[in-house]
Amino acid sequence: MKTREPLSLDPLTRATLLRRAGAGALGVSAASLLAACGSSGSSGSAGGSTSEAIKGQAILANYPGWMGKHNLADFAKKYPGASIKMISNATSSTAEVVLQFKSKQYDFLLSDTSDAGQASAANLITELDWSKVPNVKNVSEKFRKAYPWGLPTDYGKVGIAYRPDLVGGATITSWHDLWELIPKYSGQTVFIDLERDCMGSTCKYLGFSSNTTNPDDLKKVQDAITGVKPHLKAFLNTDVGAGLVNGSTAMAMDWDYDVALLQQKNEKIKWVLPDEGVHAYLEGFTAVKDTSKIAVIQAFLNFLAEPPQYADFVNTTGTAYLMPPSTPLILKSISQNPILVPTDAVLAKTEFDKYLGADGATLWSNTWTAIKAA
Amino acid sequence: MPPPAAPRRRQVDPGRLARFALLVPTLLITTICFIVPLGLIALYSFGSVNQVDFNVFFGWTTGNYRAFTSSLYLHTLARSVVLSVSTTLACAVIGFTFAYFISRQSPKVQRLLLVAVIVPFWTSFIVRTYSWVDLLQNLGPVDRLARALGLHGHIDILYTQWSIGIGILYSYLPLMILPIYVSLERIDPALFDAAEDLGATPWRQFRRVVLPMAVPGLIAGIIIVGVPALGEYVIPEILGGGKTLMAGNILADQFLQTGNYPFGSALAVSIMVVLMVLLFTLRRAQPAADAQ
Amino acid sequence: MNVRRHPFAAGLSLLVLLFLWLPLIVVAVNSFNQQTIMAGWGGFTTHWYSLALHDQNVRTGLETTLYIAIASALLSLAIAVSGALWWRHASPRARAAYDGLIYARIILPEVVSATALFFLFLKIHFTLGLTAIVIGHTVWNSAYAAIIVQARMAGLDPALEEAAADLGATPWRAFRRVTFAALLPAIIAAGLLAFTFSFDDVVTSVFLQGASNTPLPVVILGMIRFRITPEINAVGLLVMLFTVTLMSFAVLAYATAGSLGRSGRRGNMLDIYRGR
Repeated sequence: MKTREPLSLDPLTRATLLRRAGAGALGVSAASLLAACGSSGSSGSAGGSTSEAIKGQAILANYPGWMGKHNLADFAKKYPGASIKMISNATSSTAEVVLQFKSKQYDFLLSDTSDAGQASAANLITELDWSKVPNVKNVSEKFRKAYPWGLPTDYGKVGIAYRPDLVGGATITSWHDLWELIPKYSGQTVFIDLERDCMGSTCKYLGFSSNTTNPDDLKKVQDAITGVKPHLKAFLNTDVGAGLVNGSTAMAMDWDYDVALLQQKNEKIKWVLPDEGVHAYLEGFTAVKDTSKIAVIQAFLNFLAEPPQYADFVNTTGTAYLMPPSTPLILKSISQNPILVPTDAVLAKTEFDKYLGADGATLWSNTWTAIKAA
Repeated sequence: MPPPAAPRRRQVDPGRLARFALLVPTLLITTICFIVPLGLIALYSFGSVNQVDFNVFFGWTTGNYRAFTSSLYLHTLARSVVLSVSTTLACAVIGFTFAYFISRQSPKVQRLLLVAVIVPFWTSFIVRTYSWVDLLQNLGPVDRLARALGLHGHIDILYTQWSIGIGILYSYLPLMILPIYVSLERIDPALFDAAEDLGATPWRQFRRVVLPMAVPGLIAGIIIVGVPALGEYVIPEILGGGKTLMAGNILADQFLQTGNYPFGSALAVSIMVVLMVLLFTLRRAQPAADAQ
Repeated sequence: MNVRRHPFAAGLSLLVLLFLWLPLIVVAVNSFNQQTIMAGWGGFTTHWYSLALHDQNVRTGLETTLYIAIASALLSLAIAVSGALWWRHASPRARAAYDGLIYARIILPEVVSATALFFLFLKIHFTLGLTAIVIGHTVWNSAYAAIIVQARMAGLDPALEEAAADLGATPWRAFRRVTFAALLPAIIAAGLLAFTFSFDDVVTSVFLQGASNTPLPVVILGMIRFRITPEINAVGLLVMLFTVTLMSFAVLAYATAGSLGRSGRRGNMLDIYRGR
């Protein structure tokens, strides 16, 4: 179902590339000069004259397994002398991601809107030269605008998953319904153990923007969560909804891709996109400031945004996707799953996380600590 | 017979320089990699952090320490201490009983039992701890057993303070058993016979012979278990369901999540102070034990 | 087994053993379980083992952890043995300070020492990575090793080495044939203990990892963050089998060296005299 032979560049793109290559001799940046001069290995004559500036190994910090099965190998094949080394860091939090940006030990990172926003505010990222990543046109406009710092790759909405048979046949359509049912089925609901996801969803429940920095709003959020906390089973960030399969959990606040996977194991699990709306994380790959491998990074991101490559990425990770041209190549279980497809109706109810600024971020994290300590 | 006229070789006791050379590796690892970094942390505890790029700068403030006094943190720290102390005590009681039992066996059986205690800990720590999630969850083996025994409803152990306690108890039991066993093993069996001959009851024998000898091992065990237990954050994270915030979690969170390094440093310094107080107490108890 | 005299202790000890082995049994059983969600038995399979053995992440993790553990164990031994030798002729005050530092390193919660090192390395622009992790592990590994070596050293009579010198041995030879030989069991035990601690370490490895290859425990942590599958149990059991094998060698070596010590010591002294 996936086409694996390299897609021949359409005439327009090829012409653009050739023109760039010609101008490249004059206007080439210092970084790619270094990459070209300092490169070892095969002289890259395959794939066009642009590949001679694209050499070296770029180091990527990423979630474990969050990459298409063949993306990295195919990239190395198409651009001999260039490769991506993926390091899987087990923890991901804003502080750590920003530190990763600072440490200069990586060339580019997977980061979400708040991480990248903060890193940008701290002047730790390199803006991409979008002319070198023309395939970014495959990404829907809404996502591009929400994630301008690099190539957005995926997003995840936080909604509700539940087992109607375990809550007396009740139907949940909103966050209100969930909050009402939690005390009735004490000890059977799981929330997500992440600040933005948990508090953001509660913001939606209360009718606030999930990016609010108003202290009064946040106090109400804190009370709403601590109010039901005694009745919660747990805050989890791994296998959040897994208990829904065997019935040890009745209701869960969970990510869309996770629920889609769980439904394959037990069809009784229902997904709800609550009436009040949802917040979503949006993440992508962003380059670190002063990386010497910017040419490789841009080439890779352009490569990843090609429909067959992006389809491989989506099919391997099972995530909600954001490049419509890849749809024919994506597994039907994903591309036709109403949970995951980015229809306009769904996107209208989705608010992406934003970087909240230094004060806002501090306010949120203090509130979260208060919630967890209660 | 050795030739008496042979010149005396250098004493085995090497010169002071050579002796000092022996200390250098230890000095390096303890000063550069232990004392200096801890000093840095103590320094940071008086600093402030830029919340955007997480750079620490020095305005010389005690604000980080004053933050402890907020009821939020005091409550959490108190709960943490209570949980650690009670788990350590449970560990001490259980560990002592087990160590005593081992020490009363023949040497062969002793070795077998020691191996039996240590082998489970050769699986990965993470895997072991996650298996407790499986064991303790609703509809899991422990739950089913309890219901078979007649307890009504689910017993909700998982994701409570009890599951954290079980997890910590489980992880630290060998660390408690070993020092106590080492102390007890040194007891000459003849002492028991002598005591019996003198007409002492088993309980008296225990109290007058065993307990005093076990004290140094017990103290060592309590400290080796109790203080690290205070700083535990992985076990509470896995078995606590995110509902019970412990001191170790707050500490780790400052460094890994929030980026509030000065506050985390202040917390770390507090733990270090507790540590130093305990070490001092240990030193006081040691000469008494050595005299035995 | 001496059970009758201590029925209560025996009963409790049995429960303790059960308690200690229960998770291991669960891990072992589940590693063959076809069912992925923890919802009972789904049939026997070795699929997870083949997955684990072929998983590139696991393989790289194993190599990385092996390197770290061996390096740290060797370093820790060097520090522990040299320190113990110094300790022999040290003043009581110096000894107290030395012992205090050993306990401090063991008792300080790992999260504190790991963070402290993290800051130091950041400050002096030392690259985080495998070397940083090895150093981080060695800080507390050397303390554990020191305790074991020292305990053995304390039981040695310094007069033995002096006697060897009297019999005509050079200081180096006296050291090698008497002291070092007597210390060997402790050195082996300490080295293996250090290796095991390093092999299973999570906290320090997470903090000091930087951009290096991921050590195995952190790989497992990552696998769990993504999704829990029985493959993790398979990995856990494989790790255990590996460590058991290693430790068996240790025990054998300890027993052999120890028994040599008991029967062969006097013979060695005469050898020294004979100039061998």
